[in-house]
Amino acid sequence: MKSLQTQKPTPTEISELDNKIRETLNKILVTSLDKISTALKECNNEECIEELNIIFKDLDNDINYIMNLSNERKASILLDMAKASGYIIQFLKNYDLLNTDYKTFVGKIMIKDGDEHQEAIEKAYRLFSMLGSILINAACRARYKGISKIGNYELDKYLLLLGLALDNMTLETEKQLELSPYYLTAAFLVLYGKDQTANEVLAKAGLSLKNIDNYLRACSYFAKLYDIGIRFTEEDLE
Amino acid sequence: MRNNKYLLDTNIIIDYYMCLNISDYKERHRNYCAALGRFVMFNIGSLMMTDLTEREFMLKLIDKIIESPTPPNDLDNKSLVEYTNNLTKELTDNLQITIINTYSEILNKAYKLNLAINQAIKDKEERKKTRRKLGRDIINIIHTHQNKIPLITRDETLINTLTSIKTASYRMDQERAYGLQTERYNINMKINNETLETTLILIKTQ
Repeated sequence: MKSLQTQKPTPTEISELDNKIRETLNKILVTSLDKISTALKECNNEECIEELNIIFKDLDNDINYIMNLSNERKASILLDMAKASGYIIQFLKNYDLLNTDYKTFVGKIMIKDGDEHQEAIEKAYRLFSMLGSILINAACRARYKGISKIGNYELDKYLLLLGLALDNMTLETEKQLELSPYYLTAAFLVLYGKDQTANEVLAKAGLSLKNIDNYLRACSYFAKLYDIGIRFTEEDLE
Repeated sequence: MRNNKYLLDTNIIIDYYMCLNISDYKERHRNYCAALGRFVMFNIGSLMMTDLTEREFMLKLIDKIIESPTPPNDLDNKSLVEYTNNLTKELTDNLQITIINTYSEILNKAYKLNLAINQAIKDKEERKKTRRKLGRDIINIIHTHQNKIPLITRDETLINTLTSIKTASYRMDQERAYGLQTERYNINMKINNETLETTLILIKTQ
C-alpha cells in the first residue's frame, strides 16, 4: 500500500528502529527470549518445534513463578517491564508507527520520574495490558505506510504476531490464552526469516501466515481511514 | 457459528474501525475487540454485504470527511463521490467482501413483508413506528432469506422490532465463536402463503 501522508523512514532509521525493537523485547522477555533465539537458530524441523514447546513450558513456569511472588515483588517486576516497554513505544512514536490517538494514549500511561508509586503501578498495569494493542496499531500502520520488509523479515507481520501474542496473553478467557504461545513463537520465527516454520507452528492453532497477511490487509485499510482524517465515534455505532 | 458466510451490517465495520484505531474503546472492550479481530481474520473471503450497506458506508465516509477540519490531502481534484467511492471499493477489496445487489425482485418481497407487518400490527401509530424502525434494514432481511446467510449486526433495536411483530415466531440460541459472545435469532414470518425465514446474529460487547 502506498504511503499517502508521510515520508518513508530512511534505511538507517529503520535499522535503528529494528535494533531498538529487538533490544527492548530482550528486556521484556528477558530469559525466555534468549532461549527461544538459541533454539530458533537451528529451527527447521519437527524436533525444533517440540523443543520450542519445552521452552514455552519453561516460560509458563516463569510466569507462574512471577504470579506467585508477593505483591510487592510483582509490582516491581511490572514497573521494570513498563519502563522497558517505554523505549519501544517511544521509537514506534518517533517513526510515526502509531496513530495520533495511540500517541496521546501512550503519553498518558508512560511512567514519569515524579510519579507516585501507586500512580506508577496503575500506569504500568495499563501499559502492560495495552502493549499488544499498541503493537497491533503499529503493525497496521507499518503495512499501510508500506514499510513491510526489513532485511530478511517482514516488520508488519512480526509486529502483528507479537502484538497478538501479548494481547492474548492478557485477556480473560482461557481459549485466547492458548493461542498466545503460537503467536509468540511465530513472531520470532518471522523475525529470523523462517516463514515456513512459522507456518508450521501457526498450523497447530489452525492458522497460517496467510491469515496474518489477511489481517494486515484488512487493518491497514482502517489505518488509512484514520490517517486521512475519518473519525468514527461510538455514536456512529447506533 | 455454523454458517461460513456472513452478511455484514454497517455497524460491524465501524466497530472494527473503533477496535483498531481508538485506544480508549479498545481498552474498555479488550476481549470483545480481540474476538472481533479474530472473526474478521478467519472469515476473510466469506464476508458479504448488500449494495445498500455499501452505499450507506460510503455516505458515512462523506459525513466524516465533511465533519473533518481539513479535506483528505489525496483528494486532489477528484469529486467527493468519486473519492469516497474508491475508498469504499478499497474496503471491499481489502476485506474481500462480496457485494450482493438489490434487484426489483428483492424490493417486491420487501413490499410484501411490509404489507404483512401492516396486517400484523393493528395500531396505526405502532405500525408507523415499526416500519420506520425497520427502514432500509428490511432489504437486508430479505437478502438473508433469499441467500440463506445470517446478518451479523450490533443493532439490538432491529432484532427487538422484528421479534415484537405478532405473527413472527423465533428461536434464540446463545453461541460463542472466535471468543465472540453472540445471540443467534432464527425468525419465521408468514407472508401470504410464504414463510420468510431470516437469521440474525447479534454480537454482544459485554
